[in-house]
Amino acid sequence: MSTDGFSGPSLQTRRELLSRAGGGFGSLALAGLLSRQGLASGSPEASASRATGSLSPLAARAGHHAARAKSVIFLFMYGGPSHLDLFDHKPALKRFAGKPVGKSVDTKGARSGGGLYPSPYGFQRYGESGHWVSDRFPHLAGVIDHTAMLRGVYGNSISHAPALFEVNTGTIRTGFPSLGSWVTYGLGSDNEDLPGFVVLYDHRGGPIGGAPNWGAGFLPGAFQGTPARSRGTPILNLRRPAGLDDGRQRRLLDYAAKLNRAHRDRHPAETALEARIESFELAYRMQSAAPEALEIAAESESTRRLYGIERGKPSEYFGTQCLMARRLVERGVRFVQLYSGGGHGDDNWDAHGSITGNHNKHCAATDKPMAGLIRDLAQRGLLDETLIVWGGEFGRTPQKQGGGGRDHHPFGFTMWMAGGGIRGGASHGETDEVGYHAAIDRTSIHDVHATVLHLLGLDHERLTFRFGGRDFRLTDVAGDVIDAVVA
Amino acid sequence: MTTLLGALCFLGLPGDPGPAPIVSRDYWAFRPLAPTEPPSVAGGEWARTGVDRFVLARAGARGVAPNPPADRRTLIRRACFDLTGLAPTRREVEAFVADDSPDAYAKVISRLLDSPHHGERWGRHWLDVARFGESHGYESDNERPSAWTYRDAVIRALNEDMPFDRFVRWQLAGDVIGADDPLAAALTGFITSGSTVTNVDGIDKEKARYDKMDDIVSATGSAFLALTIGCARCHDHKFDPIAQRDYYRLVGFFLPGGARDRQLVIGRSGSGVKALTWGGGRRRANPLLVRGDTERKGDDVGSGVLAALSAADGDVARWLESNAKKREDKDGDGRPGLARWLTDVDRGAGALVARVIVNRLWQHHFGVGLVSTSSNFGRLGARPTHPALLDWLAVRLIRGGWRLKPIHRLIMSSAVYTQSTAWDGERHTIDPDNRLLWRRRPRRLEAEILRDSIMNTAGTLNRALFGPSVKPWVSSDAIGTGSTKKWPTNVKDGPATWRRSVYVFMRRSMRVPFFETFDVPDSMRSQGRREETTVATQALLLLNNEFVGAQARHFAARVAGSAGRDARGVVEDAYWLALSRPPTSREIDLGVELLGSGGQSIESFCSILFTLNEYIYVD
Repeated sequence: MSTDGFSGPSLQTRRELLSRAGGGFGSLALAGLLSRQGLASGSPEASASRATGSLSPLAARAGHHAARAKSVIFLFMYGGPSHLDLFDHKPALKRFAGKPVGKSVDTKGARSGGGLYPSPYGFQRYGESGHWVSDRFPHLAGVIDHTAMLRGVYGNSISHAPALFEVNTGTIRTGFPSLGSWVTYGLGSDNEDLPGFVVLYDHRGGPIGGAPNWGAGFLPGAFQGTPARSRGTPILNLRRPAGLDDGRQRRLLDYAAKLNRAHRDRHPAETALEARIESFELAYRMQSAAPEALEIAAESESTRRLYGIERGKPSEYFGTQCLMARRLVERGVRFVQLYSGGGHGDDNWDAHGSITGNHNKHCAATDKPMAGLIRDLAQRGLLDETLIVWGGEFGRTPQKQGGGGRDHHPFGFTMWMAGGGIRGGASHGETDEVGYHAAIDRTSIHDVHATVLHLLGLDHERLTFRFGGRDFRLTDVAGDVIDAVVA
Repeated sequence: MTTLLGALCFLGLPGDPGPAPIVSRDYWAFRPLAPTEPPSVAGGEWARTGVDRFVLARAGARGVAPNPPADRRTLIRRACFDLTGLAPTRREVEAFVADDSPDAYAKVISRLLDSPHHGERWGRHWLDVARFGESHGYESDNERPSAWTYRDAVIRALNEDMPFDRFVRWQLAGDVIGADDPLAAALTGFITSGSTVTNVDGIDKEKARYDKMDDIVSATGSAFLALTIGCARCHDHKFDPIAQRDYYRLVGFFLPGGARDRQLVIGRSGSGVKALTWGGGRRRANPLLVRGDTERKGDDVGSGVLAALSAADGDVARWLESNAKKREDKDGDGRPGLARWLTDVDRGAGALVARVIVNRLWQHHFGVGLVSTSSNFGRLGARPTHPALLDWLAVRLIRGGWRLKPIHRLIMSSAVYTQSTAWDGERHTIDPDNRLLWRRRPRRLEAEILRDSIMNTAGTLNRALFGPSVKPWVSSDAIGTGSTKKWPTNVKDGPATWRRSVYVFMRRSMRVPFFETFDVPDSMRSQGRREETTVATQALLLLNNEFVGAQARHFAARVAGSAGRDARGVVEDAYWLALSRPPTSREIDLGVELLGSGGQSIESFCSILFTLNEYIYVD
């Protein structure tokens, strides 16, 4: 059994654990694996407060080394934002406008046959870093020195779903644990009254592929992302039924937990049963913690304006998401992922038909919120401990598609990071002259993941989970921390 | 334009040697069915059917003996949920436990297969595969008020045990080849079930047209063949023997047609309804789109089927001619030929279609198919754990006239199906994932079945069959901004909407929160298997949602009975209604203790039973 030989948490004897977990699952597996990976289990205080007396999957725990960031806000631009029209300035495209991609570029079977297409946007260098930024991001340009640019990222799929899976889970296949799940598995959360991993997806719908993008894969179910609703009230059903007070509800839950534990003991291999027991405990605590955490109205008018939350403005929606994200990490939530763009067609960044028609809209929706988030975190002293990651599932082709669009392009594109542990103004990686292939300091998604884990105090080679007889990692057998962007 | 474009395709890794060979018939899923017989195995006294001997042969080789049978109370609850999605009543359980005739279990299976609720249960499985929705999707997401006629036709076809080959054919060409039967045209709703881009013009209109073609061809590939044909829209498939030419030749069957209003007869009743179904057209030029670009039209490729799954080059003439003398229009779009090719076991794709459907049945009976990727039998999918069993079941299906009910019966009569969920450390060490099928794994109720169960337990379920979809009450918090026109805000939560969930309106952009929370897909793509997430928002829903609360009140009223009913009786009745079994003496004590403590009501006791793991996981 994979968990043999571990030294469990102090609260329970090994025998108790075995009898209630039937030989190696649920909390037991977690405790065992955490200690095996050199991750400290939860502090006794944190664990003792738990109603069940078991190690909570969300209990905060130390990583492998000192952390530079405590939490992550991942700004996911779904649909594929064009690196060439936002951050990766390529004057050569003007020179070669309309020409086919030269023979020197192996197009890897990509499908757009159109000629090279210069960006319709103007570019300038900003700040001390001199990062190139397109004129679609005037607010972001104002805080650009906080960012470290990764202009040589590449992925392995030309289609949305597998590309999303790769950026989120490290593999183009479905069913693997997402970055947010690995992080909460490794570190727990600093607020056990809220989910450790929250997903706020776009009001126009979730990204293609849906839940596996924030799934826990083979990790215990307690680490999967909890999606908040994208319209109206973010989390429904937080109010207890009228007439049911806290004490009575607590007794009902204790009653159910007693029956559920007996049921689980009859099914020791079904880890979902343990996860479900935990989910009711978390739900109970969320009833008091979540309404406050998500209450945007509590913020001042000026804060809301900073994020672009103004009625009727294109940034109103994403601004609200960003502000919610700040409130969540402020309260100790470990990992928040925001999606800009949802649904289909031009409702996300998938600019096949027209870069300007598509990106004007999405840039206007995200520019001020992103800049506001960075400024707000900085002025609250939270930017040092919050890692912001920006990116989509791929970039877009240097060639024109249709009237003025660009096609999917995984061979070279841009992501950036800012905040906790990041050397603002740094830059790593370049694409070739026309922005086709990542050419210098090529950066894989594994590298990006390794870096995120590193900044959080986790060693991507030691953060493992045994499944089906093999120790799995987020970064498989690859990944290098990108030292150039680490402060 | 579309984000669906090749949604499941993969690009070769940098440095890849290039695409796989295009035509390769020597691939397990494409081979003719192997006419094997169940092996004779040691320890065969456990085996009840041929199914078991295949399972035992593999498990025995690894020294893993499967479990003994589950007890009868467990077994009947399992069978009821599997075949109808509705728990057995106390009377049904007690009658089965007391029935000592040798065919007691077989009688239960027969009764359930004959139930009109069987089609509702299995129809819902098929609707996932058919990416069935009742609105266009995308920004406007207009409603399709008559789309339910397809859903009803699916339920009726399954209840009648329509031969599956006919079920396949009618979904693609029922309007042409089954005109005498009221179900035939209604089943062509399969073609129109997917999403449709609207409100576009100019060049985008042409793209939208091909997006629609892609939806149809991709769904046809996934649903019937478990192949990701959509990946060949822009280039030859990277992994499976599907050429881009194959893709466009399939498009050729649908390009001339479109959604058409048609007067449909409802079931066998004779009453009519105007419904949007598929209407074919005259054969027309069908250019291959170079790299999928509507502005780069290549040569006319006509229409045809997958070369790798045909004896010839994918020409459908053979399959068209087989019935040409009938009313079918020889100049038509050729869909009858496509339909016949799909179900032609010897010269077409019939063997694969049979494998795919028996695997879907297996998946819904066991949780995981013999091929775990039930909608991808291609190279990126999983290999079968029990290939000989898969083929044997497929052969049985075909020999039995493609009727599904005998296959359900065959699978459910097996020792592997009826075994207990008992866990064992030693066997677990050898086979932690249960790929050898040595134990039954508890199955979680899907969103629809959970909602149905809550109403069934509460005694409020409106069992009316068929008809236009209903829009149940949804909290105004959930409707919120931006979608106020998408769901009515003035619905009364009452019997009119307490219908089985298969009759709930499937609006693509506004899933009922109960369904969205419990993993119902958005029906933008054919889906063979549901996600099963476990998150706190699900717990919150069961604890605090007004609909669930109202059902708990009805449940409470049901068990409270006459005034002065003792707590013990309440607990006992509630257990029977919720869990199809009597409580143990400890459970009675716990329940009585809870009911006697600080102002707990029968209502809150009943509400908490809805949350139990045993309620949502069926052994």
